[in-house]
Amino acid sequence: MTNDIHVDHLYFRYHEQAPYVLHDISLTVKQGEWLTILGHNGSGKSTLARFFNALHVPKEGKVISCGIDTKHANEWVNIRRQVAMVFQNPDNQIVAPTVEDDVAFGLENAGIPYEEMHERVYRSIERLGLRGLETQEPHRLSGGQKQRVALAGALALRPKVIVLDEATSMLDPTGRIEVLSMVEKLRKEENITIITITHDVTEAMLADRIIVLHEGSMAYEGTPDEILSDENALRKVGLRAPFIVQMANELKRQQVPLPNGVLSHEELVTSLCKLKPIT
Amino acid sequence: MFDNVIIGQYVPRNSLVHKIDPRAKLLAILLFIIFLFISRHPVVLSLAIVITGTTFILAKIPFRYYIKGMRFIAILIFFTFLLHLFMTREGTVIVDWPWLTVYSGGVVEGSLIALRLFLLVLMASLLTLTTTPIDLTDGMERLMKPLKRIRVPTHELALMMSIALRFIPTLLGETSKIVKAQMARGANFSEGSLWKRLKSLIPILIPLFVQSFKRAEDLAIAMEARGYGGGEGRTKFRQLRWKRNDSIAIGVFVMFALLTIVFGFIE
Repeated sequence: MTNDIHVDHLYFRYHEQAPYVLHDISLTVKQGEWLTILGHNGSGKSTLARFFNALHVPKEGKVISCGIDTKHANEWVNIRRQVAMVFQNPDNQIVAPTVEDDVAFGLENAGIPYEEMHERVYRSIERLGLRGLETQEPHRLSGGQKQRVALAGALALRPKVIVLDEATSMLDPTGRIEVLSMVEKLRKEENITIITITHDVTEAMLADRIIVLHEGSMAYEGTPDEILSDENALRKVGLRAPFIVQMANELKRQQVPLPNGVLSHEELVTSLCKLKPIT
Repeated sequence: MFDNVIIGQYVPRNSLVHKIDPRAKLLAILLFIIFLFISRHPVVLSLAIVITGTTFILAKIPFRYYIKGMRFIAILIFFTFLLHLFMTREGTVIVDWPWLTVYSGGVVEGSLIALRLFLLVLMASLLTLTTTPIDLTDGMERLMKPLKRIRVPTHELALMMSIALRFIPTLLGETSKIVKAQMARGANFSEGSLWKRLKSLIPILIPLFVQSFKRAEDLAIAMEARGYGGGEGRTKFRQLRWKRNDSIAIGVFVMFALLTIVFGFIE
């Protein structure tokens, strides 16, 4: 397994006198993995994300993206082509006046010849289910559609990694599901490494691995089972466990014999059903 | 209200004029405007009328679409006509009232200027009615390319234009949201003196500006993350292809220009 992102003892502050925003971060993201960086507002998670594609460059510590050290300024464009990013506000990241133009924007910047660009743009649009909206104007799209346009723009670059920086936090529940299911599909079918930055514990369930960030430091690291079922640990970092976890824990306190690591609706229902013959 | 900013006045039709390359349209209009005002020979003027009329028919856009944009211009044309009518002191006297004299030269001069302005506005409307603003921006960028040598930032200008087009509807939506939010807090925009009403705009403009700057910053970061590095080494997704019809269209207007010069000498 190769590593797509490697962060080594990263410290960051905005200027010399300021307090550290990031404190001794070391992490590795494996190829094809879905990593979630979880943290409440101001935990430094978005700042950390910007190191992955060289929007921030470390003064103390080291970040290696797709095998390239981000401190080399002449490699930044190359890194950004491999580590694509989708941002929080869908309205503020679409550059061009129509969907197809926007999907093409990154390819234009990369100087891809017209024939290949044309093919890649329409393929991306197709992959994200945006057919029929090619010439639509961004302000006529729903939030979920706009984020899918942003994803299509990222996908067209054929990146190794896609970083979603709170990309679903401004969407309604339908839009959120729409975007996340697309992300899931891309990871499966294109083998793209996914890094999601979020404060939403339900979204974190989709990940293979979670890193919890608290006040600029790495507080916990583990699988969703381990992290999300630990109500006390989550409370310490200002987060609340998912509703299902809270409910399962409460049931356990009431002497209902449930297994550990119940995270989703289905899991809770099946474990409860298994109890039936006993009672 | 401003729902169609990006499409502008554009009326989609499957016509010959719609299919002409925006570069050709811009060049043709430029030629037309320059030479329309050079000559006053009747042959040239009737040719201009024929050209405008033909383009109008070929564009297949009903006249009512022109009226919207023309109402204000019509007043302007009318006053220009009056001005020339009363101010010109040539030819024979037609009307001789104690407070008003109109010379025949005034009628000719007034009609001439009105006709020219009318043709000009019709042609300009034809351009915006048959071309989307995005295509226009594109055409302008290509035409301005030679200016790059004297360091005119053509790519940046075109990008600014296209970002503006993309954000106008977003900002208009935002404005109406702010207006509603301020009204919900008891702001009153429709009463009081002019000064008071102007002052009541401040609580709309300030949040709008703050938000726009925030948007601009977000957009700049997003563009950087997508590898934007200026116009150097950039390819274009929008391709313009010069076709035979474009050459023919330009040819017609070049002929018009040449005839104008020829008749200018005859005069």
